Amino acid sequence: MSHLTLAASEQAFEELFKLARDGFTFAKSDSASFGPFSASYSVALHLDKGSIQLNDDGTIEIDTLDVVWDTLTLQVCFDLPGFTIPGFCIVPDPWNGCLVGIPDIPIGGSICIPLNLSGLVSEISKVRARLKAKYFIDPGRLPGWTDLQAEFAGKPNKWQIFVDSDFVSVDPVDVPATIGNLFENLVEQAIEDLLPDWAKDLLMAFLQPVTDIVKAVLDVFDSVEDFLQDLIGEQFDLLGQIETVVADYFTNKYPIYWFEDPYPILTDGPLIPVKIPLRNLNANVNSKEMIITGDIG
Amino acid sequence: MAFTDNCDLFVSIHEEGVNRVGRHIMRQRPSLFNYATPDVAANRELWCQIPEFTTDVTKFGNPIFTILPYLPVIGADSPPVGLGLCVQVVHAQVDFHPSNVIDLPPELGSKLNDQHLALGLKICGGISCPDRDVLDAIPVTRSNPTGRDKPREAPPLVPVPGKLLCFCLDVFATAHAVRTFINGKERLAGEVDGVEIVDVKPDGLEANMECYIRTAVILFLRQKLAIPLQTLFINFPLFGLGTVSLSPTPKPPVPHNPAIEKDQLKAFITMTVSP
Repeated sequence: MSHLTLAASEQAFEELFKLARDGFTFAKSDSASFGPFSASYSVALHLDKGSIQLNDDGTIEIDTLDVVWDTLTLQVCFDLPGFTIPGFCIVPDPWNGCLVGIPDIPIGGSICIPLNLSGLVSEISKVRARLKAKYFIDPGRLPGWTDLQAEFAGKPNKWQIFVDSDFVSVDPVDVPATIGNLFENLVEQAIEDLLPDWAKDLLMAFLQPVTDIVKAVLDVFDSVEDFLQDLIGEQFDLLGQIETVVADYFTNKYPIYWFEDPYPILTDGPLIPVKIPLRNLNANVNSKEMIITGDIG
Repeated sequence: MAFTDNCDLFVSIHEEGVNRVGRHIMRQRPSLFNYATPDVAANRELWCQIPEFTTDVTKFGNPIFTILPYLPVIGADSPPVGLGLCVQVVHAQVDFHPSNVIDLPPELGSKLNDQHLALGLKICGGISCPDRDVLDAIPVTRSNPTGRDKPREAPPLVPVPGKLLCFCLDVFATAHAVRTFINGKERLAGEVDGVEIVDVKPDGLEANMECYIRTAVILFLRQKLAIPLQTLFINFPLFGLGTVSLSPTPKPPVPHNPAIEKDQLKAFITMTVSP
């Protein structure tokens, strides 16, 4: 029989998980060129909600964990192919020619469309994990130090219990349909900005076919929402990155429970604390609780 | 049956684990178990037993002995004379119900009652016995009878050297575990029910020694070995969390909290989460 047994109910384990979940943040910026266009992004996100289930086979399942995109800004830039809006006559000359007309107007150049999707919430549909006890030896600990010297230097060894994730499934970002309209409005605005002021009102009727040219340049075959979803999830592989950082966070970065080894007791007063070594630490779950066992060394 | 069927946090420690913790404390905090006058503490030749201690104890300047005052010799005041002494707890062991580690003496019922623990101690000690030559060499000073002259300062106590006459006693105690508030913090402590010293005669001497040891054990358990509940849970992260309050699980649903059963000490905690 183990010298020490510590158990936490599923509800208590859920509170431990919330502590870990709330400590997670991820932020990144990047840019890349995708042939006819280039794009850049800046993201910052945290996790929220999620339900926990402990299983008798020792697995932990976390479902419907929200990914809250506190910042999600994108910028798509492309070179609008040069073309000319042909001139036309406004007041024709009844005998011949044109009294008042619009000359040919060349349009083209670099266009950038900024999009702010901050506040979106997507979902990690499933995390499957097991508990794992790891022994951490502080790399800054000098070879000749006793456990007490290591503690005084702030570099004690530690037992750490991680939620060792073996499966993380992140759902695609569900870009709302309203973004499609917004994107098209921004494209129109950007192109309008290329036109001379005097001609804007007259030429707006020509912009619809230009927007179609832009969609062709960006390979927007279906909808703008799908294009953005693909850009975020596949082209920039943000979903894959989130899967990796979430798994790494729970598996290696944030122990749900840790303590020094040897564990200090009788710490009050001027004398050195008494250090109790803990060995053979094991952590597991069943459908009712988390159980940690260990021996006194 | 799950450990947390009636609570949210559960901890148990087996008697073998407690005894290992006890040995670590004895080696790392020897001054809790070794007491002597300054002359004895400074001369390891006089110690009844050489205690084991870790190198950190001396490296960090911690004492091996807690220093006691000299034992005054009655009738000697010109000058007052004191004898050196030494008391050492050289072995300590715990046995949680049911009895299977310590053979209790019949006076304590031989077997542990439900929810009780036994404590077995081996205590060695002695008083330094001065040679006659040493006593003869102490000059007699002028005594200061009360009520006559203006009181003068008492002459300093003269410690006299001598060889310690060490002896050892086997002491047994039975106790149960209680939760108690000390300095505003809820702690787990042992409450002594009975003490027995083996083979001391006459009975009156035994009774007096038992009374002294009983008093010492009660105060030692209360002052030095009352464990905050949080320590028992090895710094579990939910302790101290603003949104979670933890309190000992009441009876019912838990019949005993803390409980001593199946060779283990157990504690049960109920959690309340505020929104």
